[in-house]
Amino acid sequence: MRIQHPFARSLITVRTWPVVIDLGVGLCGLAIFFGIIQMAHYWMGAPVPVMPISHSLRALPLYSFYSIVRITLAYLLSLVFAICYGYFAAYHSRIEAWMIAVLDILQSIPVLSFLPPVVLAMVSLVPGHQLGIELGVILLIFTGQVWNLAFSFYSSLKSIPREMSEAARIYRYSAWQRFWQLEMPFATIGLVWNSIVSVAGGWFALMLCEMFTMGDRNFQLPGLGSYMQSAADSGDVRSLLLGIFTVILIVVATDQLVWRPLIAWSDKFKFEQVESADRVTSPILELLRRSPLLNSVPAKIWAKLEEPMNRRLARSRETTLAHPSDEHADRRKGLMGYWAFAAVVAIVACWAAIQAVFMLRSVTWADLRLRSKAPPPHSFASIRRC
Amino acid sequence: MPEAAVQNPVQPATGEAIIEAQKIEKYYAQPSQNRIQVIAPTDLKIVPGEILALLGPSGSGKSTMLRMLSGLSRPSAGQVFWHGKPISQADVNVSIVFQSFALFPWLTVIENVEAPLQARGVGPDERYERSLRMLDTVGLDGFQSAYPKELSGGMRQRVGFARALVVEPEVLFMDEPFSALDVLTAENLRSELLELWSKKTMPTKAVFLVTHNIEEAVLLADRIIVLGRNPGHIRTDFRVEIPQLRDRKAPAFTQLVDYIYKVLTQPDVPPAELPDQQAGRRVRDQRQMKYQMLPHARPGGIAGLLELLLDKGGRDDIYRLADDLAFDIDDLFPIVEAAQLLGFLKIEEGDAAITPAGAEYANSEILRQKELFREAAIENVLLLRQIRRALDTKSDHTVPEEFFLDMLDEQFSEQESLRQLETAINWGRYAEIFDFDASRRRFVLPEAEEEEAEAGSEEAE
Repeated sequence: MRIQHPFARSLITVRTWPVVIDLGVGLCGLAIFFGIIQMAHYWMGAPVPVMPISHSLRALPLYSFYSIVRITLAYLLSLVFAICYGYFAAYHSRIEAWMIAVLDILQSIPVLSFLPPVVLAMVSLVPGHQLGIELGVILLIFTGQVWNLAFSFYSSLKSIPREMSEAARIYRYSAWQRFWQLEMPFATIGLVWNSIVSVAGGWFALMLCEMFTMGDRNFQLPGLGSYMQSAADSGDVRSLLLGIFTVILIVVATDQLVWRPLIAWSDKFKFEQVESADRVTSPILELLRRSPLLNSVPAKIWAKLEEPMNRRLARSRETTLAHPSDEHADRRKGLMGYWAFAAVVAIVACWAAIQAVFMLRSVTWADLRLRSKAPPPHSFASIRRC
Repeated sequence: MPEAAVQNPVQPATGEAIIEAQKIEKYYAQPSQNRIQVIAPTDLKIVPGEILALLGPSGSGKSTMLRMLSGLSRPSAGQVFWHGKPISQADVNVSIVFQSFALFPWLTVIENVEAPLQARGVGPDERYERSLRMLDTVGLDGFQSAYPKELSGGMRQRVGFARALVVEPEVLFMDEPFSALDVLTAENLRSELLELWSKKTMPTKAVFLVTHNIEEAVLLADRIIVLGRNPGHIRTDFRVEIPQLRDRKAPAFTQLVDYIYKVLTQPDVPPAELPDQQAGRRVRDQRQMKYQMLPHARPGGIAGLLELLLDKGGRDDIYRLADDLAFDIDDLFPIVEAAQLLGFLKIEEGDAAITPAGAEYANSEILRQKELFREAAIENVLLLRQIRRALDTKSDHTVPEEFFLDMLDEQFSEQESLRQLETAINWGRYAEIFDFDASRRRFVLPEAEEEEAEAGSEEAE
């Protein structure tokens, strides 16, 4: 509740602040727009596998920008994938055990093992653009980020209190409404904390993936990882330190600008009976909360999207009938659907494998043994491989 | 299969059943051939215009029954019908009020109430208006933008009620809605619910209440079903004819509570005749109903319970006590009832509260305990008083067992008479009211007193 200020002067600040914040929000939006244009320009250009890396200080902001975009995209991709995977695993009891086992196997494979097939696949998928190589690298970072998120989301879904999911069922929530009002909020806190871990893992993968050698082909993308690796390779201690300093700066900024506001915001999803006394506070979040622009526009857009959806879903069969909670959707559909699904998966997998074999025919066994360009003993790559 | 005695058969009420269960049962298949039967095949009807309470010990499948009837859970066999249509194919309009409230903590009060309407495709303005009106009805005016964790338990359950009622359900299911609340709040909410119901403020046609609180059931329900267990089955199903608003202290009320206690505490005995519920008049007055039913509890158990209760500050919920002791509620009931009979504790709304006499008893050492028990027993238990008086009066101070068995037989079944006497002997021996010579099947005075009595009679001669 806002306290009424008795003095006119403070009233003016109260009134003018939101405008300033709105301006800030608007400028951020513009910056993002500019960033996208810049990125698109770079991505859509002709593929240049080996970009020369400049050691000058002036190159650092652009390199940081590229690296941050890669990490961000990889993170968003992992988030979407984790949610889909976790959701599917949690609600399909027939294949649940399999999906979790597969997840467990995948997460224990080191990032670099994915490198050759992923990069080859992506390069051939988007030929003629830098985007192909970039996507390969993003996917690699993704493999370093996704697994714990998927586990977190899955376990959150599994631990929703029984009475709450029964409430959702008896009030006939559609899957859509259940997702946004029950499952997602319940999983938010786990996802936020795991995101912090994931993005940290992303930095690690980034250092390895921006610059690598596959057989006789070199890949070198502009970014912080390449910058530091090439600085280390050429023994340029000053640039190396600058690079490390930049990474630290970005990590601290991410913490203050992204994670802390997110943690403070996710506090409302805490499943607790009484309000806890000590909470994480974030000045940034407080600022954002005062922005009228942010307070009204997204909610309005959301309502525009959601209302027709709700009305349509409310009429659908899914929600007009009561579904017993002790039987899963898959039981109703019976075995046929499952066999069909399994067959499709098997066919797709076979096709992909054959394609991969065709692609890899050109790559010799020696190529598959990944070597970074003769890394000196103190480089990140060698630490990772120890 | 135990009895399915229904003494006061429920007349098919006016109108058709809203929900009708035909031979529904629940079991869980085991890997081996046998299966775990949770609920035996059961027929049940929920008809318009009544509050139906489902009572039963833990493990009798009350909640499972609620979930099957509301369509949340599918019966293993049998069929539930909604207005004559199988429930899985019908457009069911029910709500549930949950024990844990089951509110979404990340939504404000009004968003919680709006959510079910949103699921039904009601537009934002109408949704908001209806929710606000419903919050007003349950007395939460002005709290719409609060989060549930900012509210007290009672207010949270009000939100639960508002959310349940906002969709105007035909049947309102309630799963122990008051048991997570403190006594006063629960009482308050109960009476408000009754008011909403009797004034027809809520459009609900029938209420189905699952509870373990006997008084709550008698206070609210028009019809009570008592479940037994192993597997869950209906033991009795009767109408409560006491007019609303019911007075907890009225004889008809307490008798009905006692009756249900007895049904619950004696799972092996077919439910007795239902007491007449015409207000003011007792079916059996003191002369007719000579002996109280002695609960089959040992004095040691009573002492143990009282000591535990004293430890807990003199008052605790009976079910919580049972949980703490890892006792089955059915094993605890006789002890509680015995202590109550002796005036050592009082039952108030499912809570056992120790009386001053009980506190003194629990605090005393063993000899004093016996003394206190004797006083309480002679004061309160007719059978013990009679035995003692007979022993005192007779010149040889012995009385055969059959004498009392004959008297008990008029009131109890043969088997129960034997058990009654067995308990009486147990208590009498402990309290040294009398002794029992098992070889001669005769009551005698305790040895010390016998000698005294001998001496006295000799002197008199």
